[in-house]
Amino acid sequence: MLKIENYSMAYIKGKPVVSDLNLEVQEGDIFAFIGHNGAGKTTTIKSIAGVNYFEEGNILLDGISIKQDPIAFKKNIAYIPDNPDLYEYLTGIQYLNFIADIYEVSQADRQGAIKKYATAFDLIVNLNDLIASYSHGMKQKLAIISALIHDPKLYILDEPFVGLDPYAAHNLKEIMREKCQAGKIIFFSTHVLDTAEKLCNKIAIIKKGKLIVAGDMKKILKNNSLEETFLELVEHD
Amino acid sequence: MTKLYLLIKNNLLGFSGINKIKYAKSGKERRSAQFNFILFGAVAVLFCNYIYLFAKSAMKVFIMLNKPEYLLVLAMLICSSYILIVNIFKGPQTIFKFKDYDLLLSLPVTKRVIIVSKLIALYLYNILFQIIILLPPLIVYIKNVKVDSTFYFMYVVCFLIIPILPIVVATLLGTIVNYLASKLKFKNMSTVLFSIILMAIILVVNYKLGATKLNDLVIGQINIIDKIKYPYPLIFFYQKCITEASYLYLLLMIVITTIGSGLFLVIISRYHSKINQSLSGEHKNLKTNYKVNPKSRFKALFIKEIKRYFASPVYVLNTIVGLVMLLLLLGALIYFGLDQVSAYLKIPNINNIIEKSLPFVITLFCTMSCTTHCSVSLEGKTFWIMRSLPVAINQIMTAKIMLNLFFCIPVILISATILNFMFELTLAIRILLYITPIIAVILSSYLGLLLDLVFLKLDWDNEVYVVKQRIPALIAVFSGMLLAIIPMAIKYAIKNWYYITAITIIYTILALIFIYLVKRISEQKLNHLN
Repeated sequence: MLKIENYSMAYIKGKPVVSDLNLEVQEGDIFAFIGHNGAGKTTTIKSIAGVNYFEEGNILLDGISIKQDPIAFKKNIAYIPDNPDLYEYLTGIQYLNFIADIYEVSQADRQGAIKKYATAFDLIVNLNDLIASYSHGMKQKLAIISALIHDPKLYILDEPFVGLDPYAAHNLKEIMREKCQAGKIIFFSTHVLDTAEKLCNKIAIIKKGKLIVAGDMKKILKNNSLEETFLELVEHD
Repeated sequence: MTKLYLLIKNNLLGFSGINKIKYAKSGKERRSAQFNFILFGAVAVLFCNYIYLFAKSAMKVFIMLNKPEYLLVLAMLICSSYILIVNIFKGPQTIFKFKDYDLLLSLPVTKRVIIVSKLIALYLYNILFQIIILLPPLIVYIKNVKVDSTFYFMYVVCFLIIPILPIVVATLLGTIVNYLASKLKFKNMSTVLFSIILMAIILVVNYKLGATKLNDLVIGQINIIDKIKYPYPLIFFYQKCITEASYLYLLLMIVITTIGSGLFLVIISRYHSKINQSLSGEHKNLKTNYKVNPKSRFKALFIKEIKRYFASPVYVLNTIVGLVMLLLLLGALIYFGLDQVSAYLKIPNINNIIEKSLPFVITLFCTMSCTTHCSVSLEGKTFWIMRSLPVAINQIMTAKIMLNLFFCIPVILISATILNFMFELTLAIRILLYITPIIAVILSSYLGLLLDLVFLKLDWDNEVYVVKQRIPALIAVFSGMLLAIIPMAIKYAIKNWYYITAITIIYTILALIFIYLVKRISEQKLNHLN
C-alpha cells in the first residue's frame, strides 16, 4: 500500500506548493491524480519517486518510508517523468541494460521483459540506435519500457500518454490493467479526463496544493462524467 | 534590427545569469547566483593582477630592447590564440547546435538574423575574456609610454575588430571537424581525434611563430612582427596602428575583417540547415539483435560514466591533456634520450631536475587535468534518473571518482615503470614513484568532485560552459598543478625520500579530509535537491 501522510512541500519557505496531503492507494488500484497546471501534481509525484526532497510529512510503500530508507523504497518503484530526459549518449538497449543492472534484474527476466515491451511499443528495431536520435514519443516509450523491466510494486507516471501514438497509448493502458490485476499499484497524473475515467478505479483531485476529493471513482462521479465532476468541484471549492 | 536586438538580448540574458539574480524563485537560489557572479569577478580581478605582474616584468625587457609595443603585440597574439583554441569547440556549439534551434526557426525571423545574433553573443562573450587578458598589459604600456588620444582611438577600434576573425576561423575549423566526424561511425571519438590534431597544429604553428619562445624574444633572436606578418597580418596591422597611428592599416584591417566575416556569414546562412542536420544526425544501426549482459550495480554506473565521458569531445579534450603530455614526454625521453630532450626544450640540467623530483613530475601531469570537476553537473537534466533509482549517492560519487582513476592510474604505472628503468634511484624513491602520484590523483579527484558539488550547476544549456568555463574547472586545474609544484618549489634540491614521504603523507591526510567532505556534502546537497 502507498501511503502519503501529512505531506507538505514548499520550494520557497512559507509558500507551500502542496499542503497537508493525505492519501492511501491500495494494491490493484489504478489511481488518477488530477488537477490544474501548477496544482502540485508533479511536485507530489516527484516526491513519491524520491526526486524531490520534502521536510513535512511522510510517504510510505508497504511501511517503508522514502525518508528513512530511500534505497529500499526505490527498489520497489518505477518513475516516468512527464518529459523524459534520458542519457542521449547511450543506445536504447544500453539504457535498458543500465536500468536493469541497477535493479539487479536477471538475464532471463530482462531478456523476456525487453522483448515483450519493446515489441508492444514498436521500439525493437530502434534499440541499437542512440537515444539522441529518438523522437519525443520514442523517448517516452523507452522510459516506459525501462519502468516495466524490473516489475516493481508501484508505478508512478507523470502524464504518461503525452507524446505516445494511439497504438502505444492503447498498449500502455492494457499493460496498466494487467499490472493492476497482478496486484501492483499505478499512480499517475493526467489531463486526459476521459482516459482517467475509463481506466482508473480511484481518483484524487488537487487544487492549489490542497486535496479536494479522493476515493472511489464511481462513488465520486455518481452519474456524472469525470469532466463535469472535475469542473464542478474545482469551481465550487 | 529590433528583432536582432531582441535575440541578442535573449542570448545575453541566458549567458549572464542576470535573470537568476533578479527573479530566482528562492532567496537561496538568488544568493547562489549572486555569489557566483561575485566569485567570477574576484577570479577575474585575481587573473588580471597576475597578468599585470607578468606584463610589468616583460615590459622592462621590451623597454631595454627599445620595443615597448611588443608588450601589446604579444598580448594580442596570445589573446587571439586563446580565442582560436576556445572557439573551435564553442563556435560550432553556439552557431549550430543551440538548444532553442526549433523555437527560433519557427519565429518570423530570417535565418541570417538568428546566426548574426548568435555570432554577436559569441563575440561579446569573447570580448569579456579579451578585456581580462588585454587590460593589464594596456595599463602597463600607458604607464611606461606616453600616448595620445589617437592611440586610444586606434587601440579601441583594433580591440573591437581583432577578435572577429579568430572567432570566425575557429568556428569554421570546428565546424569542419564536426562535419567530417559526423560522416564517420564513431562520431565523438573522431571529433576528439580531429580536434587533437587541429590543436596540435595550432600549437606547433604558435611555437614556430615564436609566441611561446619568450626567451629568444627577450634576447632579441626573434623579431616577432616579421615572423607573424604573413600568417597573421592583422597583428602586423595592429602594430602599425598603435605605433604609427596608420589609418591605412586600420582601414585594411576593417576591410579584411568585414570581407572574411561577411563571406563566412553568407556561406553559413546558405548551408546552415544542411550543416546543422549533418552535425545533429546520428548513425542508425540496422542490426535488430541486441546484447543483454547483466553487470553489477557499480559496474553499470562506472560503464555509464565511461560512455558519458567519450560522448563529449570537449570533456575528453579538456581532461586528458595532462596524461597525453606525460606519455608524449616519456615517449620523447625513450626515443631521443634525456640529453636531446633537455637540449630541445632548452632547460639546462633537466636530468638533475627530473631525477630530484620524479614523483612530483608524474603527479604534476596527472593532477593538472581531472574529470571530476564537472562530472555531477554534467548529469544536467538527466539527474532525475539517478535520484529515482535505488542507488546510494556515495556509490554514484565513487563511480565518478573511478573514472578519473581509470585513466590516471594506468598512466602512472606505465610512467613510474619507465622512469624506474631510466634512472638510478634508491629503493624508497622507486616505490614512491608509484605511491605518491596515485595518492595525489585520488586527492585531486575528490577535490574536483568537491568543487563541482559546491558550485553545482545542473540547468546548463551548453556543455562547453560546464566543462571549461566554470570556476571549478579553473580551480581544479590550478590546485592540481599546485599539488605538485609547491612540494617541488619548497625543497627543490632534495632527493631525500623522507621529504617525498612526508609530502605523500600530507596528500593522504588531505585526501581523507576531501573524501569525508565529498561524502557529507554530496549526501546533504544531492538528497535535498528540488
